[in-house]
Amino acid sequence: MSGNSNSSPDDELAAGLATGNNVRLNPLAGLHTLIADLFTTSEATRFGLSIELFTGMLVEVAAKYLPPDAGAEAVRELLATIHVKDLVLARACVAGNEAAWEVFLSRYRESLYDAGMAIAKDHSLGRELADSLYADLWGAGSAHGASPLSSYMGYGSLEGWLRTIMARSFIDRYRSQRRLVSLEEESQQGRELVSPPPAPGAAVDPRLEEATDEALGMLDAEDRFLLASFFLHDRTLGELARILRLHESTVSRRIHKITAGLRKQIVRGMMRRGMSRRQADEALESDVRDLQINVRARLQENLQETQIRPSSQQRPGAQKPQDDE
Amino acid sequence: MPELPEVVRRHFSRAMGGEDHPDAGLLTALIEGTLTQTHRAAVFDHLVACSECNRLVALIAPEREVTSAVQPVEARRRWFTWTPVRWAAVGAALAVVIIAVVIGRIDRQTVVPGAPSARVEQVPTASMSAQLPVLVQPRTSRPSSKPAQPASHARQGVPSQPALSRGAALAAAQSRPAASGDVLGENAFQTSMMSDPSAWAELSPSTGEPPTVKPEPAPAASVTAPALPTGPTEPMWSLSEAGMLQKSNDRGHTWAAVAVPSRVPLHALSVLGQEIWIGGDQGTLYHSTDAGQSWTAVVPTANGVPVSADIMRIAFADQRHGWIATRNGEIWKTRDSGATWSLK
Repeated sequence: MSGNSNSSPDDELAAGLATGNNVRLNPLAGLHTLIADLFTTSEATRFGLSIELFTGMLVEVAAKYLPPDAGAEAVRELLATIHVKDLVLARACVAGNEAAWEVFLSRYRESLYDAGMAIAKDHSLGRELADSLYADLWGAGSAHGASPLSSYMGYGSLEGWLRTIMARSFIDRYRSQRRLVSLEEESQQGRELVSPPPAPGAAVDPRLEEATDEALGMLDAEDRFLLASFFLHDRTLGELARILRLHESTVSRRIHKITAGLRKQIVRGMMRRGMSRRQADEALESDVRDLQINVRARLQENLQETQIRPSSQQRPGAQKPQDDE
Repeated sequence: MPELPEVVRRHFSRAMGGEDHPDAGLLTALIEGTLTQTHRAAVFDHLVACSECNRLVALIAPEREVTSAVQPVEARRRWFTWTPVRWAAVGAALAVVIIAVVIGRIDRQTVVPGAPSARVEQVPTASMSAQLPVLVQPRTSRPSSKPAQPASHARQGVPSQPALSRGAALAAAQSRPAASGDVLGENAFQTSMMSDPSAWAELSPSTGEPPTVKPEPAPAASVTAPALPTGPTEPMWSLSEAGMLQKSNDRGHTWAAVAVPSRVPLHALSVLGQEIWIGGDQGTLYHSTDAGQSWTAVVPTANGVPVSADIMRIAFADQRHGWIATRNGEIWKTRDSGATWSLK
């Protein structure tokens, strides 16, 4: 603890509160004992951080991750999740504490290289990524402004956080390199032949839209993530298994189950909105992109007609694209 | 895999882009399973809409071997949905439970005859052992320098892994992955320890004799039968089927993954109070002196050659003396908390 060793953590915290900005400290009001416990476990004194500074860090964390009107329980849940030891180490490094840097180096240097290689899937590029990140952390931390470490708030382990910002840097680098690819190179790769994505706003029965909205809204956020990641973002089962810490077969079963349940829910929703079972099934099976092609083909066929039927009048699922061709 | 209705795809696509990205901390917490309920839905919904962050979380997710037991779902369901097979499975599970209970009773009656305070081992069922391949409960007090052993072994003057009753040994055997290809299994490791009385002599340097029966202290073994904690706050530790370290603070009702630096599957775990050792593929060995808060990589090296085989068992008698057994049959020994090692 800082200052007088005879004073209790609560006394010191009270002193810290008294010297601090009351507005900023509000989110942590009534959590003195918890903060004192966290201060003890954080080993902040090892790097010369006082409880005032430590409390300030927690205020910053609470302000960043919680709404201003968050209740004490939400604050407690957040603080219980925070990796206070890592947070203190990061802040001590930002402050230029030599001992903290020694700990940081011994603890994370090797794992940074491992993470770089795992992200880049290439030894030299992985080392380059790690060196680049390390240079940012060290160089900026020593003299040239705010270190990226100052944005670490203890949410997630420091090692995981370093891995995340390294991966983000890898994606940024990849994206910037892609932007530098000339049009000539792109055309050589055949990219100019790629058709543009279909325009949004296809003709779909509003009852289908409403039922889909309703069914998706009833899903758990993690289930929505699973579906979108697998079907839309082309994540593999293996990737999803690693993200959610599940087995691949478990992920596979869950996607099966969610998809089947979602279909049923949408069909039920449409039936509640006045469709027959058959109509609902047909509406669900019809492919929106095919409907667009269908509309486009009809527009071309009837180019000379003065009045074109609006696409919304098409009965979804009434005609498959093959029927037109 | 069934097709997602196109209308659902379109709804997802409509939501894409336009939001602020969650910071690195939130994504890290998601991957580490520590995201609070306050942020969980928001982060997942962002990942639905943002392909960039979706790709990012796939990049930062730790590498694990999760493909080993993947089978087509339909193929597995087809035979298991056959009712007689289901009933046969239930019957087999019941039989295993009954046999385990009977063996446990016989064991308590015969192994330590007349001992009034012999340890009561909880004999796990097959399902328990399947859930908890390796489960270790930390000891609150330092173990006795002389490990206890069954009376029968003491009479023969042969040291053995102490206090592992037949029921406990059965549990330990059940807790091993069945198809791991473990050349040096628990029995081989115990045999190796039994054939080297000097190993136990190190624990009782004054006599150098095999230890005598003592019912009360816990053994110096890395793998013990699952046992209920004696105190309400003692955490239980185990390795998941996927080889990840996990911890329970409520007597095994719920388990939480514990972050470790290693991303390779773990096979071995030893817990001694605050001291935790974990070992896994390709000689991966980590040591924590603060109950898993921080980890130090340890590379056992003898004559300039580091261990490279998969570490399958770890046993620490006290903070300083320990052994590791590798898949290819090597036994490595340390007398100084892992600072130096010798290869037997």
